[in-house]
Amino acid sequence: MRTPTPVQALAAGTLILAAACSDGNEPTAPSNETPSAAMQGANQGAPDDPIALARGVPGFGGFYLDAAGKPVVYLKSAAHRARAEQALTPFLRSQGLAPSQLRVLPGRYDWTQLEDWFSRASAGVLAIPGAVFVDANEASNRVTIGVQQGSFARIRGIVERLGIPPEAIEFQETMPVRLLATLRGRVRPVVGGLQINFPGFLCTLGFNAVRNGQRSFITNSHCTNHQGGVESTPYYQPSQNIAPARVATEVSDPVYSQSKTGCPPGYRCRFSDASRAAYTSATTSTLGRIAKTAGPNNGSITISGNFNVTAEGSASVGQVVGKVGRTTGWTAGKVTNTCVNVAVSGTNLGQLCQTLVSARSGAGDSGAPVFKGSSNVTLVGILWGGIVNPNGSSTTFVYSPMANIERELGALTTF
Amino acid sequence: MGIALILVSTLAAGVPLRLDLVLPDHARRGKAVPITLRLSNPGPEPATVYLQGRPTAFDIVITRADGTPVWRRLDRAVISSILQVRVLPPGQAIEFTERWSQQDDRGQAVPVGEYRVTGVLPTDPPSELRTQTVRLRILP
Repeated sequence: MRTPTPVQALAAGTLILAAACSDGNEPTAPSNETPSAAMQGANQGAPDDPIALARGVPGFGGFYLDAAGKPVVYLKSAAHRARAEQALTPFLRSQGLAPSQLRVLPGRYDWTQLEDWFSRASAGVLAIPGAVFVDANEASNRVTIGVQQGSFARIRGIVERLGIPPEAIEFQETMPVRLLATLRGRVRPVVGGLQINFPGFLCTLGFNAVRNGQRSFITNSHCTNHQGGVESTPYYQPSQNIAPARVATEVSDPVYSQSKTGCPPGYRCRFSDASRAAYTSATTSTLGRIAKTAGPNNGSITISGNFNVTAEGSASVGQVVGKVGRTTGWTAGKVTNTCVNVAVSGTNLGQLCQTLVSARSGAGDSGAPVFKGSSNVTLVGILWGGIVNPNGSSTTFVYSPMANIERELGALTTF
Repeated sequence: MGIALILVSTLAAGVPLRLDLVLPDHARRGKAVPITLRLSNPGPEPATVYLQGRPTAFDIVITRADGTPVWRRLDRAVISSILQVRVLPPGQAIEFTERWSQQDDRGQAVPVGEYRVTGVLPTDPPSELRTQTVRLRILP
C-alpha cells in the first residue's frame, strides 16, 4: 500500500514505535548468491509492482525508493539479498536502476504478517470516528494508522485489543480525507446549491425547507414537468444517470393566473418562480445549509464547505447578494432593481415584483439560492433567469424574493 | 432561397452536430424574413444535446456588412436559467424558427442594402454553437 502523505507524526517517543524496535539500519553489500529455480519461479509479479515481485522472497518486509530515489528493501535476513535483487530486477531495470544499488534494511516483520495486521486493523478501526487510514507501510516495515488530532488514545485502545503487536503499529496524526465533491456530484445529506435533475432538465436545488412538518426543498416552478400546477415531478440528485433513486417529488406549484395585479394583458403571472418538492424518507437532507465553493466569481464548482442560513430577509438596491448554482457556482453582485415585473422570453408568463442582480449566471443555475453574507447568511430568494445583454452575454440575474415565495408556497421553516 | 449549411461544432465527445442557418439570400423591403436554425445529428450514434432555457433560447444576430449591430433576437430578453438535456437520434434535427420583420433594435425599419446573419444556440455555459455568417440582401 502506498502511504498517504502524513501531515505530522505524533509524539515520537510514544508513537513512532517502529524506529525504536528496528534493527540497525546498516545497508548490506551486494551479494553473489544465486536464487534457486524454485525461487525464481515464485516471483511472478507485475514488473511495475515491486511488492508483488518481491513478496515471495523469504523475510521480505517492504520495498521503496528513498528520498534520493535509491531502492531500499526490508529483509528479515540479509542472506536473502540475492533473491531480493533477482526478484526486483524487472522493476529496478524499468526505473533505470541496477540491482547492485539495492540497499537492504533489516526488517522485523515479513510482508505476509503486515498484510494480515493491515486487514485486521482496517476492519477494526476504520469505522471508528477519528481513524483516517490504515497502511501496510512498505517504507517502515510497520502498519501505519492515520488518526485525526485528539483521536489517538481511542484508536490505540482499540488496536491493542486486535492482537497486533504494539511495536508493529505506528500512528500518524493526519487530516481527514475528504472527497472533492462538486455542485454537480452526488452529495448527502442534500443541501442547497446542488444540481438536481428531473426528466429532461438540469436545475439547482434552492434551499431545504419544512412545510407542515414535511421535509422539502424549494426550486423553480419552471424546474417541474409543467410550470404552474402539480404533476408530481420526480427529482434526482445529481441526476438519474448517476444516482437513480428518486430523492424528492413535487408537491406544491401554484398555477399562473391572469388575475394577478400588474399582470399584462394576455399574460399569466405569479409573484415567484418557485415550487416545493418533498423528500423521500430515504434521502437525508440538512436544513439551513447551502453548498459553498472557494470564493465568489471565480468559476469554481468544487464544494469547500457550507453557508449556514441564519435568517430570512430581503435585499435593497446597492446591497451585495450571492448565489450558488450548479453551472456558474458562487457568484455575487449588487442588487440593481427591486420589485420589477418581468416577461419571460418566449412565453406568455410574467413574474411580478422580482429582483435584479448584477452578477453572472448560466443555464442550469435555475433554482439557485440567493443570499446576503458569506458565511452565516440571510436567505433572500431563488434565482430563475438571466437577462441577455446586447452583446449576447448575461451579467444580470433575476430572482424571486423570499416574501413572494412564502406568499405563494406558504410559510416555510428554512433554518 | 439561399441556404447556408455549416458544420459548426462538436457538443459531445466524438459526436458531431450540425447547426445550420436556413434563410433566403434576399427579401423585398418590408417583407418579414423567415430564418430557421436547424440543429441536426448527421452521425451514426445518438448525441446528447444541452440547450438553454424553457422554451429553448436561440439567437439570431443581424449586422450591417461592416459589422454594425442591427438586430438581435435575444437583446435584453429574460431567459430562464434551466438546462435542457436532449438526446438527438441519428439523422434527426431540431428546428428553431423566427421571422425578422426588417426592423432594428429600436423598432425602426432598416434600409435597403446588404446584411449579415448569424445563428447562435446557447448550450452548457460557457459553450455555444454559432453558425458562420450568411449574407442577406434587402431589395427595394
